[in-house]
Amino acid sequence: MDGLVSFISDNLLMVYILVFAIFLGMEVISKVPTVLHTPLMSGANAVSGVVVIGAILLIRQASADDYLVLILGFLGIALAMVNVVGGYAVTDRMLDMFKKKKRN
Amino acid sequence: METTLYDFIYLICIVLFIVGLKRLSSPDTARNGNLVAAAGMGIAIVVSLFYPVESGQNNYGWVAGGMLVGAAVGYTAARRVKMTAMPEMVSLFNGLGGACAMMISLVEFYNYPANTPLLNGAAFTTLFALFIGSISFTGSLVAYGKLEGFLRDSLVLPAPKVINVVLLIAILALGGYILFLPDIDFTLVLIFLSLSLFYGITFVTPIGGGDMPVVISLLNSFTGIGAALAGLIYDNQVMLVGGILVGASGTILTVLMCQAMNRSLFNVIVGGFSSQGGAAGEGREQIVKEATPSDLAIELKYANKVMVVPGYGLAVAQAQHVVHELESMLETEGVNFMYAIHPVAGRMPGHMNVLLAEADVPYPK
Repeated sequence: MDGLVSFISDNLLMVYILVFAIFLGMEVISKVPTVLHTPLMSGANAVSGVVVIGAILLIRQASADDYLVLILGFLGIALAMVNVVGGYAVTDRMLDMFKKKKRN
Repeated sequence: METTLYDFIYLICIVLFIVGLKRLSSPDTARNGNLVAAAGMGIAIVVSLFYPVESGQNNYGWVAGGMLVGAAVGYTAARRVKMTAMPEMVSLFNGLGGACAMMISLVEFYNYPANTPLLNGAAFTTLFALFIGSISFTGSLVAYGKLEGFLRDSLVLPAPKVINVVLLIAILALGGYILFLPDIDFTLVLIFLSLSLFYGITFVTPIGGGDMPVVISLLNSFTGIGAALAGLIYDNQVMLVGGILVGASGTILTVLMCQAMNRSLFNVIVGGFSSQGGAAGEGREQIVKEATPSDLAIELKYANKVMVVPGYGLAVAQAQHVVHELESMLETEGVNFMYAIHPVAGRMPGHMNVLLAEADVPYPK
């Protein structure tokens, strides 16, 4: 239990950020028209690819002969990049269709 | 001192994410919002490449390789996928993000210093991230398989509820046991990983096709939470805020979708096979088509108002273009043509609107 308490007190700022971000996330999204649910889900999905940063930091901290970590990290980066790039590209394609009809 | 600059740039990225998501939630600014969020992501990734790390040899070759491969695959897949297959794609992408969170936590445990008690926040967070990431990974793959048609809806494990509860208890118990050990036991962590992966499968398998969008949205928020937990491990604010934003908004979105279908979230998860909300629109359209084409044409011409209730079948048949032609023809005849789009028609809420937009159908109809 001490471990958890000291973890929270060591990371108090992070815990604050965490709680505020939860409220922020709910607030930002609360008024979405149904039409945009799919693109929004896809866009949010792309944002969740931030996890790629973790993989980048992880691989950069590893020593050059630790192949297990390197390979896992490599896979992590590659998979998360698919999520990021694919996610944004797909969302853009969907939204592009909404935009086209406006010109008519 | 040196990290201050980097941390400040991270802050800018966070702001870009928030602004991007905000703009994504309104039709006029949505496209721009997506680009804003993408810019935030791009900056965040570049900064991470140069962020000072305590130890290690950078291994830029591996980083660059992974990024190139991932970006190329992601971009190609996103360009090639058909609009009707969009939900599957999103689900698949999401699963890959979850897999990344899973791998990070796994490596963290692999590198965990020996002879250190695990009852601390860091180990707890890592274990939680491992759990969430794995569920999101296998769950999304099952969702993908179901939507794509590899996996039949009828493929259900016996007594799914019992299996799920038992598995969940087993995972929690094992997780608790791992945390109370005086020393890290990597084998147990691997068992924990396998159980979590398996739970992801059993969690999604009993859920029927019509409820898939809700599940994907839920899994999406799981991935977000996984990313946020990884952010806690690395003390990285971008990951924390980005992940939590997705986690919170994904949860809200999930609830909104359930409301659009008149179901509760609990009902969707526990209910297993039940009515498919999304299919409701299709039935009516087909009844109309029972009339012979010529009868229908006459009726349409003399009608004052025509309402089309499009369903997923229409999109699969690529009939939206024909419907649009029909619309233009009838409108020149002075017929008032309207669309009634069921909120969860298609495979995701709003999916139908995307499909109609593909055929240049003006959208606020």
